[in-house]
Amino acid sequence: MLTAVTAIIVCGTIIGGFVTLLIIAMRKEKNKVKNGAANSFDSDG
Amino acid sequence: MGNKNQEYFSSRWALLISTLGIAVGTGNIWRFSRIVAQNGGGSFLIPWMIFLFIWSIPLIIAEFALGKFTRHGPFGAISITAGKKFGWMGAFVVFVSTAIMFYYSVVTGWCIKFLFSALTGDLLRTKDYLGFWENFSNGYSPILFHFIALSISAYVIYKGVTKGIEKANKILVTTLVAILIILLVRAVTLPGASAGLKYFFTPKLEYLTNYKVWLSALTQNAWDTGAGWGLILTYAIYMRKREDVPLNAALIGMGNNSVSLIAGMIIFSTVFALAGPEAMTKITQSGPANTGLTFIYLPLLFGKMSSSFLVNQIFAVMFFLALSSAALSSLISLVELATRTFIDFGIERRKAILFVASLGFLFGIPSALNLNFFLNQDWVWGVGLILSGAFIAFAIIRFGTDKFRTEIINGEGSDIKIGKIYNFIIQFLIPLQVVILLVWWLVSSAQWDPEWWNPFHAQNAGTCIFQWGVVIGIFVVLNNFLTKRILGASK
Repeated sequence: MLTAVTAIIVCGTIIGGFVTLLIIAMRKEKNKVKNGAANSFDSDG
Repeated sequence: MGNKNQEYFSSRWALLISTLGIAVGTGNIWRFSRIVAQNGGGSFLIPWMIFLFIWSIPLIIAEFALGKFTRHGPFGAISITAGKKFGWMGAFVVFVSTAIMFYYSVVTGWCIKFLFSALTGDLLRTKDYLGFWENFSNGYSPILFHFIALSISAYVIYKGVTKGIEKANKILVTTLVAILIILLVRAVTLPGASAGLKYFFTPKLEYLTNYKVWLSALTQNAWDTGAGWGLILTYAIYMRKREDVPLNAALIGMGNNSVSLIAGMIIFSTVFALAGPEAMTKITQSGPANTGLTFIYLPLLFGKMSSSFLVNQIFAVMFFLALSSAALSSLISLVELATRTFIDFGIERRKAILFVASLGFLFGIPSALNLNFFLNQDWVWGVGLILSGAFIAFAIIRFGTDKFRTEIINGEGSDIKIGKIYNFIIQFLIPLQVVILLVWWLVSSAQWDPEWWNPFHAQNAGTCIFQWGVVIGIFVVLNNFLTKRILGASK
């Protein structure tokens, strides 16, 4: 039982967190491309 | 800041995959599993997860933001944010990562050699695995493989950001992840693998009250995510102005630790399924230069994976291909960091690469020939990374943590906003962790070496303090000269 709970917490936080953030990043990037921001190659910071 | 001829990563995904290539290295595969085994299996995973959020991700955010804001490598970035009189701190960060490059190229060479041996079948035909490793490491061939590893990395850097770094990482990181997933499926379906997974995920509560487990978890995060090395900062120079910082940083930290978890599941399942009762002894043995598990014991296990030589060979090739990919993607970033520093001084990229590669080859030879020298360098500059992390946090504190957070991290392009908790982590938690880690490592070394002060011993406090002292002393003396040149070259 304890093993399963730990596996779910650890894998859920790390791998699950990674996948969730990846989905958020994909959506944000899609919006940026829509707005044309992602395609602007700035020459300087 | 920056120059008009600068290249940029072609997309956010190219930046992410390249930065993930920095973070994912051999430490995820060979060091993580050994440290988990030595610290009570599942008990280790809880503090390891906590330190991801209070050490690794905050420092990765800092590195992304520093590189994007200053468009300089660590030396220039720290000179700009902390002030000219602290430029020597940036020089130290560069030196530590460059010193690591010298011997990491040797490690990458070992991985490539074992990949070749797995391909030819020699690795699985041998009966004496320890002898196989010793014959290789005690001879001159590590120099040849060190040369091959460094040449590949220099060539990638020579090709530039999009055609070199980006393209190479797309191949290396994708190969690594694909192979790890295949190996994971095979490993967890081996008869008896569940015992390994059970050990990996079962926390022993008594270990959680042991401070050493917490310190090992912090150390693993400090060494394995690449946070505070200055490498992510260097790649961030090539990120576009309207690129996000906090979300990308969190993705790198979690992506890196996901790879460690997958590698851990593969190794624990395989070792428990194929080694039986002796599994724990084998998995905790570090062997010479932490090589025991990877270069001596795992090849033996691959030989037992099935009754077919060809199937075993395929799995051995896949494992060492994954390991070589992980090592190469990190080595490329180490070479780029040193190269970028010379570019910041106004030296042309091609000349800088030639100089860095030649220097890397020459200074890597002692580590290729002598494992004691290798151990010394791994110890001195591995612990030195904690100082590097401290110097990066110091630069932000000097610049103004709140200003840094609101104007740079949460500035143009950020997809998510970071709250005031970040100020607390950078101003208090990171310095506290640095002090605790440094004191612990140096005091521990005094316990295993009665002559802890002797700078000529391989792994003690004396050799660290002596080598850091010499390097810091030189950079403090040359501080004004070097900072004027590096900041002047970018004007």
